[in-house]
Amino acid sequence: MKKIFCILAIFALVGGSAFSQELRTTKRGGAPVTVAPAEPTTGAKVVKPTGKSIKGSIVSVMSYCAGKAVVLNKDQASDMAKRGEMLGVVVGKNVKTGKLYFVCNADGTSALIKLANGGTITVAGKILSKGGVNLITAEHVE
Amino acid sequence: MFKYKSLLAAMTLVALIMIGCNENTTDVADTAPSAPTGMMATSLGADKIAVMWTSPTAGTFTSYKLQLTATGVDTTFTVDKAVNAYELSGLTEGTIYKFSLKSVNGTAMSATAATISWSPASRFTTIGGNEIRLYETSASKGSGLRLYNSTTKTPEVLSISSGDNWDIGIFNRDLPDSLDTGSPGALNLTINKPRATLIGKIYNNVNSLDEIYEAADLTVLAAGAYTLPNVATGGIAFVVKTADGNFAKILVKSNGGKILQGTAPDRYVAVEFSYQMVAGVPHAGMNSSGVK
Repeated sequence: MKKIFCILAIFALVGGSAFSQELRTTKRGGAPVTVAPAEPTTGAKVVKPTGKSIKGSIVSVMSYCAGKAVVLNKDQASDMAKRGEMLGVVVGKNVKTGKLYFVCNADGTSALIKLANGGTITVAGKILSKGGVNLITAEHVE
Repeated sequence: MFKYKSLLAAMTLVALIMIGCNENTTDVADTAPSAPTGMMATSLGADKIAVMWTSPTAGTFTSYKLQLTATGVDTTFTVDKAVNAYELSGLTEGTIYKFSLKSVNGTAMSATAATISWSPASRFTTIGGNEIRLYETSASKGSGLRLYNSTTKTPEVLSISSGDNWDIGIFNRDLPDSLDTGSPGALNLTINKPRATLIGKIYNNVNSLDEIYEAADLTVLAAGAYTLPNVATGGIAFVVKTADGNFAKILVKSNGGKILQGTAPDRYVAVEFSYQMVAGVPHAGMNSSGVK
Protein backbone atom coordinates (compact mmCIF):
# COMPACT_ATOMS: atom_id res chain seq x y z
CA MET A 1 0.00 0.00 0.00
CA LYS A 2 1.36 3.31 -0.91
CA LYS A 3 2.12 5.68 1.83
CA ILE A 4 -0.17 8.65 1.58
CA PHE A 5 0.80 12.10 2.83
CA CYS A 6 -1.80 14.67 3.72
CA ILE A 7 -1.50 18.41 3.37
CA LEU A 8 -4.03 20.53 5.13
CA ALA A 9 -5.11 23.48 3.00
CA ILE A 10 -7.73 26.18 3.11
CA PHE A 11 -8.93 27.37 -0.29
CA ALA A 12 -10.36 30.70 -1.13
CA LEU A 13 -12.73 29.79 -3.87
CA VAL A 14 -13.14 31.74 -7.01
CA GLY A 15 -15.47 29.27 -8.53
CA GLY A 16 -15.96 29.03 -12.26
CA SER A 17 -19.53 28.60 -13.25
CA ALA A 18 -21.00 26.77 -16.21
CA PHE A 19 -22.00 29.16 -19.00
CA SER A 20 -24.65 28.45 -21.52
CA GLN A 21 -22.48 28.82 -24.64
CA GLU A 22 -23.76 26.76 -27.49
CA LEU A 23 -21.75 23.82 -28.78
CA ARG A 24 -21.83 23.95 -32.56
CA THR A 25 -21.52 20.61 -34.28
CA THR A 26 -21.60 21.80 -37.89
CA LYS A 27 -18.85 23.67 -39.68
CA ARG A 28 -19.07 27.40 -39.96
CA GLY A 29 -20.37 28.61 -43.37
CA GLY A 30 -18.15 29.66 -46.24
CA ALA A 31 -15.46 27.92 -48.20
CA PRO A 32 -13.35 25.87 -45.80
CA VAL A 33 -9.62 26.35 -45.75
CA THR A 34 -8.11 23.48 -47.70
CA VAL A 35 -4.95 21.74 -46.74
CA ALA A 36 -2.48 19.89 -48.92
CA PRO A 37 -3.94 16.65 -50.27
CA ALA A 38 -2.82 13.37 -48.81
CA GLU A 39 0.17 11.58 -50.30
CA PRO A 40 -0.79 9.00 -52.93
CA THR A 41 -0.89 5.46 -51.65
CA THR A 42 2.01 3.15 -52.38
CA GLY A 43 1.75 1.47 -55.70
CA ALA A 44 -0.51 4.11 -57.20
CA LYS A 45 -0.11 4.21 -60.93
CA VAL A 46 1.29 7.48 -62.18
CA VAL A 47 0.81 8.36 -65.83
CA LYS A 48 3.57 10.63 -67.10
CA PRO A 49 2.48 13.24 -69.64
CA THR A 50 4.33 13.77 -72.86
CA GLY A 51 4.61 17.58 -72.57
CA LYS A 52 7.50 19.70 -71.28
CA SER A 53 8.40 19.82 -67.63
CA ILE A 54 10.24 22.08 -65.23
CA LYS A 55 11.96 21.18 -62.01
CA GLY A 56 12.46 23.84 -59.39
CA SER A 57 11.94 25.08 -55.85
CA ILE A 58 8.70 26.36 -54.34
CA VAL A 59 8.94 29.96 -53.17
CA SER A 60 6.74 32.83 -52.11
CA VAL A 61 6.15 35.07 -55.15
CA MET A 62 6.21 38.15 -52.94
CA SER A 63 9.56 37.16 -51.44
CA TYR A 64 10.95 36.40 -54.89
CA CYS A 65 9.97 39.84 -56.16
CA ALA A 66 11.60 41.41 -53.11
CA GLY A 67 14.81 39.54 -53.81
CA LYS A 68 14.47 37.48 -50.65
CA ALA A 69 13.17 34.16 -51.89
CA VAL A 70 13.97 30.99 -49.95
CA VAL A 71 12.90 27.42 -50.56
CA LEU A 72 9.76 26.85 -48.51
CA ASN A 73 9.40 23.75 -46.37
CA LYS A 74 6.15 21.80 -46.09
CA ASP A 75 4.78 23.67 -43.10
CA GLN A 76 5.59 27.05 -44.56
CA ALA A 77 4.16 26.26 -47.96
CA SER A 78 1.00 24.65 -46.62
CA ASP A 79 0.30 27.54 -44.26
CA MET A 80 0.89 30.09 -47.01
CA ALA A 81 -1.38 28.14 -49.34
CA LYS A 82 -3.93 28.07 -46.54
CA ARG A 83 -3.82 31.85 -46.36
CA GLY A 84 -4.05 32.18 -50.13
CA GLU A 85 -0.56 33.63 -50.61
CA MET A 86 0.91 33.35 -54.10
CA LEU A 87 3.48 30.59 -54.55
CA GLY A 88 5.63 29.86 -57.55
CA VAL A 89 8.38 27.59 -58.80
CA VAL A 90 11.88 28.94 -59.36
CA VAL A 91 14.09 27.05 -61.77
CA GLY A 92 17.82 27.44 -61.26
CA LYS A 93 20.47 26.96 -58.62
CA ASN A 94 19.82 30.30 -56.94
CA VAL A 95 16.19 30.77 -55.93
CA LYS A 96 16.70 34.53 -55.63
CA THR A 97 17.79 34.92 -59.25
CA GLY A 98 16.35 31.88 -61.02
CA LYS A 99 13.42 31.88 -63.39
CA LEU A 100 10.02 32.11 -61.74
CA TYR A 101 7.05 30.15 -63.03
CA PHE A 102 3.46 30.60 -62.00
CA VAL A 103 1.54 27.34 -61.92
CA CYS A 104 -2.06 26.93 -62.93
CA ASN A 105 -4.41 24.12 -63.75
CA ALA A 106 -5.28 23.27 -67.33
CA ASP A 107 -8.50 25.28 -67.00
CA GLY A 108 -6.58 28.36 -65.90
CA THR A 109 -7.51 28.17 -62.22
CA SER A 110 -4.87 28.47 -59.55
CA ALA A 111 -2.89 25.33 -58.81
CA LEU A 112 -1.76 26.74 -55.48
CA ILE A 113 -2.71 23.60 -53.61
CA LYS A 114 -0.30 21.58 -55.72
CA LEU A 115 2.56 23.63 -54.35
CA ALA A 116 1.53 23.32 -50.71
CA ASN A 117 4.06 20.60 -49.92
CA GLY A 118 6.98 22.95 -50.40
CA GLY A 119 10.50 21.82 -51.25
CA THR A 120 11.38 20.96 -54.84
CA ILE A 121 8.87 19.96 -57.44
CA THR A 122 8.64 18.77 -61.03
CA VAL A 123 5.75 20.16 -63.02
CA ALA A 124 4.90 18.88 -66.46
CA GLY A 125 2.57 20.63 -68.80
CA LYS A 126 2.23 23.43 -71.29
CA ILE A 127 4.59 26.35 -70.82
CA LEU A 128 3.54 29.88 -71.78
CA SER A 129 5.75 32.94 -71.64
CA LYS A 130 4.81 36.54 -72.41
CA GLY A 131 6.06 39.90 -71.25
CA GLY A 132 8.47 38.31 -68.82
CA VAL A 133 5.71 36.24 -67.17
CA ASN A 134 6.20 32.46 -67.22
CA LEU A 135 3.29 30.13 -66.71
CA ILE A 136 3.04 26.37 -66.73
CA THR A 137 -0.23 24.47 -66.76
CA ALA A 138 0.19 21.65 -64.27
CA GLU A 139 -0.81 18.49 -66.10
CA HIS A 140 1.37 16.46 -63.77
CA VAL A 141 3.18 17.28 -60.53
CA GLU A 142 5.85 15.27 -58.73
CA MET B 1 -20.82 9.87 76.67
CA PHE B 2 -18.75 12.29 74.62
CA LYS B 3 -16.80 9.44 73.11
CA TYR B 4 -19.97 7.62 72.14
CA LYS B 5 -21.38 10.72 70.42
CA SER B 6 -18.14 11.28 68.54
CA LEU B 7 -18.04 7.68 67.39
CA LEU B 8 -21.65 7.86 66.27
CA ALA B 9 -20.95 11.07 64.30
CA ALA B 10 -17.92 9.57 62.62
CA MET B 11 -19.79 6.41 61.68
CA THR B 12 -22.63 8.50 60.31
CA LEU B 13 -20.19 10.52 58.26
CA VAL B 14 -18.54 7.40 56.88
CA ALA B 15 -21.94 5.94 56.03
CA LEU B 16 -22.93 9.05 54.18
CA ILE B 17 -19.69 9.02 52.21
CA MET B 18 -20.17 5.37 51.31
CA ILE B 19 -23.72 6.03 50.16
CA GLY B 20 -22.56 8.88 48.03
CA CYS B 21 -19.82 6.83 46.40
CA ASN B 22 -22.22 4.02 45.68
CA GLU B 23 -24.75 6.19 43.87
CA ASN B 24 -25.25 5.16 40.21
CA THR B 25 -24.27 7.94 37.70
CA THR B 26 -25.44 8.22 34.08
CA ASP B 27 -23.02 9.55 31.45
CA VAL B 28 -24.53 11.98 28.90
CA ALA B 29 -24.00 10.46 25.44
CA ASP B 30 -22.45 12.63 22.69
CA THR B 31 -25.01 13.76 20.20
CA ALA B 32 -24.29 12.72 16.63
CA PRO B 33 -23.84 15.82 14.45
CA SER B 34 -25.38 16.24 11.04
CA ALA B 35 -23.26 15.18 8.08
CA PRO B 36 -21.27 17.49 5.83
CA THR B 37 -22.67 17.84 2.32
CA GLY B 38 -21.80 18.99 -1.20
CA MET B 39 -18.59 17.07 -1.63
CA MET B 40 -16.66 18.13 -4.74
CA ALA B 41 -13.22 17.31 -6.12
CA THR B 42 -10.58 18.38 -8.60
CA SER B 43 -7.30 16.92 -9.79
CA LEU B 44 -4.26 19.08 -9.07
CA GLY B 45 -1.77 16.82 -10.79
CA ALA B 46 -0.82 13.24 -11.57
CA ASP B 47 -0.76 12.35 -7.86
CA LYS B 48 -2.88 15.03 -6.19
CA ILE B 49 -6.55 15.52 -5.55
CA ALA B 50 -8.26 18.31 -3.67
CA VAL B 51 -11.73 17.88 -2.15
CA MET B 52 -14.06 20.46 -0.68
CA TRP B 53 -17.39 20.30 1.13
CA THR B 54 -20.07 22.27 2.91
CA SER B 55 -19.93 22.19 6.71
CA PRO B 56 -22.82 20.64 8.69
CA THR B 57 -25.66 23.06 9.21
CA ALA B 58 -26.95 21.66 12.49
CA GLY B 59 -25.52 20.19 15.64
CA THR B 60 -22.19 20.51 17.34
CA PHE B 61 -19.13 18.86 15.92
CA THR B 62 -15.50 18.97 16.90
CA SER B 63 -13.73 17.55 13.84
CA TYR B 64 -14.14 15.51 10.69
CA LYS B 65 -13.08 11.99 9.79
CA LEU B 66 -12.03 11.60 6.17
CA GLN B 67 -11.71 8.05 4.90
CA LEU B 68 -9.85 7.32 1.66
CA THR B 69 -10.39 3.96 -0.01
CA ALA B 70 -9.32 2.30 -3.25
CA THR B 71 -7.99 -1.09 -4.21
CA GLY B 72 -5.36 -1.79 -1.58
CA VAL B 73 -5.98 1.53 0.15
CA ASP B 74 -7.97 2.26 3.33
CA THR B 75 -6.81 5.23 5.36
CA THR B 76 -8.60 7.62 7.70
CA PHE B 77 -7.56 11.16 8.55
CA THR B 78 -8.76 13.56 11.24
CA VAL B 79 -9.57 16.95 9.77
CA ASP B 80 -9.91 20.15 11.75
CA LYS B 81 -13.47 21.43 12.03
CA ALA B 82 -12.44 24.88 10.87
CA VAL B 83 -11.58 23.83 7.34
CA ASN B 84 -13.81 22.75 4.47
CA ALA B 85 -11.18 21.56 2.02
CA TYR B 86 -8.43 19.00 1.96
CA GLU B 87 -5.60 18.11 -0.39
CA LEU B 88 -4.00 14.70 -0.70
CA SER B 89 -0.90 13.73 -2.63
CA GLY B 90 1.00 10.52 -3.20
CA LEU B 91 -1.90 9.10 -5.21
CA THR B 92 -1.79 7.11 -8.46
CA GLU B 93 -3.11 8.48 -11.75
CA GLY B 94 -5.95 6.47 -13.17
CA THR B 95 -6.85 4.90 -9.81
CA ILE B 96 -10.32 5.94 -8.70
CA TYR B 97 -10.27 6.91 -5.01
CA LYS B 98 -13.39 7.18 -2.87
CA PHE B 99 -13.48 9.99 -0.29
CA SER B 100 -15.95 9.57 2.58
CA LEU B 101 -16.32 12.42 5.08
CA LYS B 102 -18.19 12.36 8.40
CA SER B 103 -18.46 14.98 11.09
CA VAL B 104 -17.43 13.99 14.62
CA ASN B 105 -18.66 15.04 18.05
CA GLY B 106 -16.68 13.29 20.74
CA THR B 107 -17.49 9.60 20.42
CA ALA B 108 -20.35 10.16 17.98
CA MET B 109 -20.17 10.56 14.24
CA SER B 110 -22.71 11.68 11.69
CA ALA B 111 -25.00 8.88 10.54
CA THR B 112 -24.17 9.50 6.89
CA ALA B 113 -21.13 10.72 5.02
CA ALA B 114 -20.49 13.12 2.19
CA THR B 115 -18.75 11.13 -0.52
CA ILE B 116 -17.09 11.51 -3.88
CA SER B 117 -14.87 9.39 -6.10
CA TRP B 118 -12.10 10.96 -8.14
CA SER B 119 -8.90 10.12 -9.98
CA PRO B 120 -5.80 12.33 -10.27
CA ALA B 121 -4.71 13.39 -13.76
CA SER B 122 -1.53 14.82 -15.26
CA ARG B 123 -1.23 18.57 -15.68
CA PHE B 124 0.47 20.16 -18.68
CA THR B 125 1.30 23.86 -18.64
CA THR B 126 4.36 24.00 -20.89
CA ILE B 127 6.08 22.18 -23.72
CA GLY B 128 9.82 22.12 -23.34
CA GLY B 129 9.57 24.85 -20.74
CA ASN B 130 7.58 27.14 -23.05
CA GLU B 131 3.99 28.24 -22.76
CA ILE B 132 1.61 26.16 -24.85
CA ARG B 133 0.41 28.43 -27.66
CA LEU B 134 -2.06 27.82 -30.48
CA TYR B 135 -1.76 30.39 -33.25
CA GLU B 136 -4.50 32.02 -35.27
CA THR B 137 -5.33 30.75 -38.74
CA SER B 138 -3.34 33.43 -40.59
CA ALA B 139 -0.13 32.67 -38.71
CA SER B 140 2.58 30.37 -40.04
CA LYS B 141 2.72 28.53 -36.72
CA GLY B 142 0.55 25.68 -35.45
CA SER B 143 -3.14 26.09 -34.73
CA GLY B 144 -3.73 22.56 -33.45
CA LEU B 145 -2.93 20.67 -30.29
CA ARG B 146 -2.19 17.01 -29.79
CA LEU B 147 -2.80 16.57 -26.09
CA TYR B 148 -0.28 13.80 -25.61
CA ASN B 149 2.23 12.08 -27.86
CA SER B 150 2.97 8.73 -26.23
CA THR B 151 6.35 8.56 -28.00
CA THR B 152 7.70 11.95 -26.96
CA LYS B 153 5.58 11.91 -23.78
CA THR B 154 4.63 15.54 -24.28
CA PRO B 155 1.84 17.53 -25.89
CA GLU B 156 2.47 18.86 -29.40
CA VAL B 157 1.43 22.05 -31.16
CA LEU B 158 0.92 21.12 -34.82
CA SER B 159 0.33 22.99 -38.06
CA ILE B 160 -2.55 22.23 -40.37
CA SER B 161 -0.43 19.89 -42.48
CA SER B 162 -0.54 17.53 -39.47
CA GLY B 163 -4.22 18.19 -38.89
CA ASP B 164 -5.06 14.53 -38.66
CA ASN B 165 -3.11 14.38 -35.39
CA TRP B 166 -4.93 17.30 -33.79
CA ASP B 167 -7.09 16.63 -30.72
CA ILE B 168 -8.34 20.22 -30.76
CA GLY B 169 -7.61 23.29 -32.85
CA ILE B 170 -8.50 26.93 -33.21
CA PHE B 171 -9.86 28.81 -36.23
CA ASN B 172 -10.51 32.51 -36.63
CA ARG B 173 -10.40 33.45 -40.31
CA ASP B 174 -12.99 36.19 -40.93
CA LEU B 175 -13.83 36.18 -37.21
CA PRO B 176 -12.39 39.53 -36.20
CA ASP B 177 -13.05 39.35 -32.51
CA SER B 178 -13.70 35.74 -31.66
CA LEU B 179 -12.38 32.29 -32.46
CA ASP B 180 -13.72 28.77 -32.81
CA THR B 181 -12.13 26.01 -30.81
CA GLY B 182 -12.95 22.35 -30.45
CA SER B 183 -12.98 19.15 -32.43
CA PRO B 184 -10.87 19.49 -35.60
CA GLY B 185 -13.69 18.23 -37.78
CA ALA B 186 -16.00 20.98 -36.52
CA LEU B 187 -13.66 23.81 -37.49
CA ASN B 188 -13.86 25.45 -40.92
CA LEU B 189 -10.80 23.57 -42.12
CA THR B 190 -10.37 20.72 -44.54
CA ILE B 191 -8.46 17.99 -42.77
CA ASN B 192 -7.98 14.62 -44.39
CA LYS B 193 -8.90 12.44 -41.41
CA PRO B 194 -9.82 14.64 -38.45
CA ARG B 195 -9.82 12.96 -35.04
CA ALA B 196 -13.27 12.87 -33.46
CA THR B 197 -12.80 14.73 -30.20
CA LEU B 198 -15.95 15.05 -28.10
CA ILE B 199 -16.50 18.41 -26.41
CA GLY B 200 -18.35 18.83 -23.13
CA LYS B 201 -19.10 21.27 -20.33
CA ILE B 202 -17.73 24.79 -20.64
CA TYR B 203 -16.70 27.08 -17.78
CA ASN B 204 -16.36 30.87 -17.97
CA ASN B 205 -14.26 33.25 -15.93
CA VAL B 206 -11.66 30.69 -14.90
CA ASN B 207 -8.19 31.81 -13.85
CA SER B 208 -6.80 28.38 -13.03
CA LEU B 209 -7.72 24.75 -13.54
CA ASP B 210 -7.47 24.46 -9.74
CA GLU B 211 -10.70 26.44 -9.49
CA ILE B 212 -12.80 23.88 -11.34
CA TYR B 213 -14.36 21.49 -8.86
CA GLU B 214 -16.99 18.96 -9.85
CA ALA B 215 -19.44 16.72 -8.04
CA ALA B 216 -20.05 14.26 -10.87
CA ASP B 217 -18.31 12.56 -13.76
CA LEU B 218 -17.01 14.79 -16.51
CA THR B 219 -19.37 14.42 -19.42
CA VAL B 220 -19.03 15.23 -23.09
CA LEU B 221 -21.69 16.14 -25.61
CA ALA B 222 -20.61 15.91 -29.25
CA ALA B 223 -17.75 16.45 -31.70
CA GLY B 224 -18.31 20.19 -31.91
CA ALA B 225 -16.76 23.59 -31.43
CA TYR B 226 -17.33 26.58 -29.20
CA THR B 227 -17.05 30.15 -30.36
CA LEU B 228 -15.04 32.03 -27.77
CA PRO B 229 -15.19 35.82 -27.54
CA ASN B 230 -11.79 37.48 -27.71
CA VAL B 231 -12.75 39.90 -24.97
CA ALA B 232 -12.92 37.90 -21.75
CA THR B 233 -12.04 39.06 -18.27
CA GLY B 234 -11.27 35.50 -17.24
CA GLY B 235 -10.17 32.37 -19.01
CA ILE B 236 -12.51 29.82 -20.55
CA ALA B 237 -12.24 26.08 -19.92
CA PHE B 238 -13.98 23.08 -21.38
CA VAL B 239 -14.03 19.31 -21.09
CA VAL B 240 -12.92 17.03 -23.93
CA LYS B 241 -12.72 13.32 -24.58
CA THR B 242 -10.19 12.37 -27.24
CA ALA B 243 -10.69 9.83 -29.98
CA ASP B 244 -8.62 7.44 -27.83
CA GLY B 245 -10.99 7.86 -24.88
CA ASN B 246 -8.85 10.11 -22.67
CA PHE B 247 -10.60 12.86 -20.72
CA ALA B 248 -9.11 16.31 -20.33
CA LYS B 249 -9.98 19.78 -19.10
CA ILE B 250 -8.50 22.53 -21.26
CA LEU B 251 -8.11 26.11 -20.09
CA VAL B 252 -7.79 28.91 -22.64
CA LYS B 253 -6.22 31.71 -20.69
CA SER B 254 -7.18 35.36 -20.65
CA ASN B 255 -4.48 38.02 -20.42
CA GLY B 256 -5.23 41.70 -20.21
CA GLY B 257 -8.90 41.01 -20.83
CA LYS B 258 -8.26 39.23 -24.14
CA ILE B 259 -8.09 35.61 -25.22
CA LEU B 260 -5.99 36.29 -28.33
CA GLN B 261 -2.57 37.58 -27.33
CA GLY B 262 0.33 38.99 -29.31
CA THR B 263 0.10 40.85 -32.63
CA ALA B 264 -1.69 39.90 -35.84
CA PRO B 265 -1.09 37.88 -37.96
CA ASP B 266 0.70 35.85 -35.26
CA ARG B 267 -1.79 36.14 -32.42
CA TYR B 268 -2.17 33.11 -30.20
CA VAL B 269 -4.11 31.63 -27.33
CA ALA B 270 -2.21 30.24 -24.35
CA VAL B 271 -3.55 27.00 -22.94
CA GLU B 272 -2.91 24.56 -20.16
CA PHE B 273 -4.77 21.38 -19.44
CA SER B 274 -5.40 18.47 -17.14
CA TYR B 275 -5.12 15.15 -19.02
CA GLN B 276 -6.09 11.71 -17.73
CA MET B 277 -3.49 9.25 -19.00
CA VAL B 278 -5.77 6.27 -18.42
CA ALA B 279 -8.45 6.04 -21.09
CA GLY B 280 -12.04 5.73 -19.99
CA VAL B 281 -11.58 7.35 -16.55
CA PRO B 282 -13.85 10.40 -16.52
CA HIS B 283 -12.62 11.76 -13.18
CA ALA B 284 -15.44 9.64 -11.82
CA GLY B 285 -17.76 11.37 -9.41
CA MET B 286 -20.26 10.34 -6.79
CA ASN B 287 -22.96 12.43 -5.16
CA SER B 288 -23.13 13.08 -1.45
CA SER B 289 -25.62 10.29 -0.88
CA GLY B 290 -22.90 7.82 -1.80
CA VAL B 291 -24.70 6.73 -4.94
CA LYS B 292 -22.97 6.60 -8.31
